[in-house]
Amino acid sequence: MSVRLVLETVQWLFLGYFVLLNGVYLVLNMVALFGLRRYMGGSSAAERVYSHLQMPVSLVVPAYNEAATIVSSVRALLQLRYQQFEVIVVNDGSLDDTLAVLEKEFELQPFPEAYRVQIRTQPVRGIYRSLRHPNLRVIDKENGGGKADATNAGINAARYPLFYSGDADSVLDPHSLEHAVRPFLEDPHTVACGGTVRIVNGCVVSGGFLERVGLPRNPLALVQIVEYLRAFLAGRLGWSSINALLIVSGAFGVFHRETVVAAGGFRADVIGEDMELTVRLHRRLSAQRARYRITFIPDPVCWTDAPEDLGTLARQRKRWHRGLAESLWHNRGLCFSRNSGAAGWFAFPFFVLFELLSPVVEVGGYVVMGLAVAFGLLSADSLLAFVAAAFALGVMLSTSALLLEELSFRTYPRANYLLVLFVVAVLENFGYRQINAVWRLQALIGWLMGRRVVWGKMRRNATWQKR
Amino acid sequence: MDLSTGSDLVVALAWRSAAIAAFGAALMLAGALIVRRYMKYEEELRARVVAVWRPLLTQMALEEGEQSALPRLTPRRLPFLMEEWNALHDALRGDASERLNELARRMGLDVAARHMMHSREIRKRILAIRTLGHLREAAAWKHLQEQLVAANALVSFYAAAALIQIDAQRAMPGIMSQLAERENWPGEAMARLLLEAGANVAREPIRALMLSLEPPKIPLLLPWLGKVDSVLASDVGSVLLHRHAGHEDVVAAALLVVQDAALLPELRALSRSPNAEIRKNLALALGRLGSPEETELLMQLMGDPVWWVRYHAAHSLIRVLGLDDAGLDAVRSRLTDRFARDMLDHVRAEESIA
Repeated sequence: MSVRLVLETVQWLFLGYFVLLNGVYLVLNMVALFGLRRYMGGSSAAERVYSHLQMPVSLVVPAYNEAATIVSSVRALLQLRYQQFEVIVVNDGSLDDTLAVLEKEFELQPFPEAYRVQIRTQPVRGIYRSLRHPNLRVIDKENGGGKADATNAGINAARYPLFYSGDADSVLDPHSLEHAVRPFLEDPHTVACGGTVRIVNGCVVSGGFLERVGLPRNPLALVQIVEYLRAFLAGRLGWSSINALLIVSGAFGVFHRETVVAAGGFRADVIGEDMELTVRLHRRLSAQRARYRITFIPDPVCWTDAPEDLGTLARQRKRWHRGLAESLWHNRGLCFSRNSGAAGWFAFPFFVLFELLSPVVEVGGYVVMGLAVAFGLLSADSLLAFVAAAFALGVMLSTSALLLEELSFRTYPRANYLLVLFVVAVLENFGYRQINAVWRLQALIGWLMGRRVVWGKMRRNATWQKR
Repeated sequence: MDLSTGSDLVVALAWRSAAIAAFGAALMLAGALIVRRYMKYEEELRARVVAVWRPLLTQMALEEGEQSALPRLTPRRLPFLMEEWNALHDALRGDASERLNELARRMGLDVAARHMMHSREIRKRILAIRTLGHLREAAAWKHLQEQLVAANALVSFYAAAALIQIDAQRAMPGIMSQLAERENWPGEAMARLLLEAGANVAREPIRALMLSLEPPKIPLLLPWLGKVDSVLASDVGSVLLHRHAGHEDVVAAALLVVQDAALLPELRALSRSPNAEIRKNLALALGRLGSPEETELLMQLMGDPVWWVRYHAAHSLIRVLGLDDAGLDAVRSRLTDRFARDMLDHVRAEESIA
């Protein structure tokens, strides 16, 4: 086989891969557009009907060394606009004063709870109840097993049929639970519901709630806004429309408690416990031929802090990719299994080919073509053509997410914000995308070689917090 | 460009893909900006309609006498006005609502709503249905019946509400048939709606429906009936408890609604049911209907392997005995099961905080 033929084949593969990848995402965008129109159309009418019909929810909030922020986080949760809910903070063996500040602020007192262990976790040291807020309990457990283990302890203590799982440092919309519970009321077969997560950097937060939406100055945070819009509004809404959503984000998810307990809760031995649980629910329920729905609401229910430095971002992205690999590997039985529907026949193979392996193709493509140009086997014009195609397709996809945002929530108040985000969607192709692909490739290689993952220190700036 | 080789062809395709994608992106950006502009225009228009019509509608609804000339209404403003009109209607009763209806007919909202009911936009369809319901527009009956069987639960729900507003008696057969068939109606909201139609209109059709349902459907409907009409639910539950004694889900649902203490002798036997839901609901029923006579049975249920059975049994025990600390200590000392003692401590602590 001549070098020319090999090169030609690589070129075709490279182009075909990008066209197919972006083509599928465009189709998902179209599906999302229709889903969004339907959702928005019935939104206010649904609120009128469902406003007084709210299933009680247990809010499970794991906390590890959060002494500085836990009080404001819990205060914000207690102020959510919802009829019946309880807050269960799980102190995951914090080394700082997390438990002490909770005790002082909320007048906690030891409670002789008949704690039931439905999901095995690290030992629980004690359970406290607030004298000030009857719907607040704190579980104090030994450290180990990470967020998954802490959440499982909270699920064990949860009383209500639905539970919310999220991060202690996320900012929730006051109406988030109302929105997220609606799918469970509309369809009793709903077992999990995710919501749109947005970037809080650049916004103003006061008293635990979002006061004003803005754009951050940090370029890395700006790029992540476009990424999140693309991932949530276009991707997840599209997958959800065909009941093939493979991830309910760890930052915001509402689950049917009994279903999760029956599935064994969150796995403590994986990095991406949120995605692993979602894929496992698909695998188990489809194998049982159960009628179920894992759904997604497009409302911006949760705002999260995005890393503003390369080191933290790299660690986060490597963890995410490792989590993706683990989730797919542990639940490979879902792929092409008989009753798995769109999740097993479409979403799973798509995630393997176009998410898990995408850094191999992307980095490989750049390297092979770069070498071919260097050795005079490919003209610079050809390289430019491929790069232009890859970039333009990416920009189109990001712009379609901006369009979806405009058609739905118009969270960003000024038109010039839209233009800034468009410029960012173009600029992210010059370096950001490539470095991201390299990080993901490193994660994939690390996973294949069985390397351990080190969490490292997460630097949070939290400049959005109004003092 | 020379396309004589495969390589040239793929490069040409790459350029074309790039051009198409760039054009698509530009188009979408323009679309997003136009959408933003359009939405802003709509918001301004809505604000103008609200500013002019809200005080006018309120004044006309609340004040009797000659109705003054109305401002000009363009088709674009009509849905906003309809929203305002419906919002005001939801808050008013009696003569005021009659005056609003007169006003709506003067403005042609009835005709506009009948047209709008066929809109592809769910929001507009629901708005039209609500308007026709408030207007009690008998001429729209056939169309509303069509919407009643719509796949969309909200459209169907609002159509049911409108039909009840127009003629509750006549609406019952269609609504009962939908209740039996559908699984996507918000049950509790529907129950409220039916009972607001008037007890004498809805009670008998509901009773007949509940008694004619197949067992799998009963557990879905019986609990919400209990929340809105406990007497009717108890009557129906007692009958179903006997009729479907072999269907565990029906028995469990009926236990949640029965209010008749005369049933206690036969309910007690259910404590040996292998179904945990039945045992849990029995614990609740014993607390609701029982007397201190049930102490032994509740103490036995407090040793149940299922947490929720123990929890409700402990609550019911405190409820039927109403004991002070010394009394509860005495009960505790008689409990031989560790889990039962733990649960009693838990529930006592809970009650003391409450």
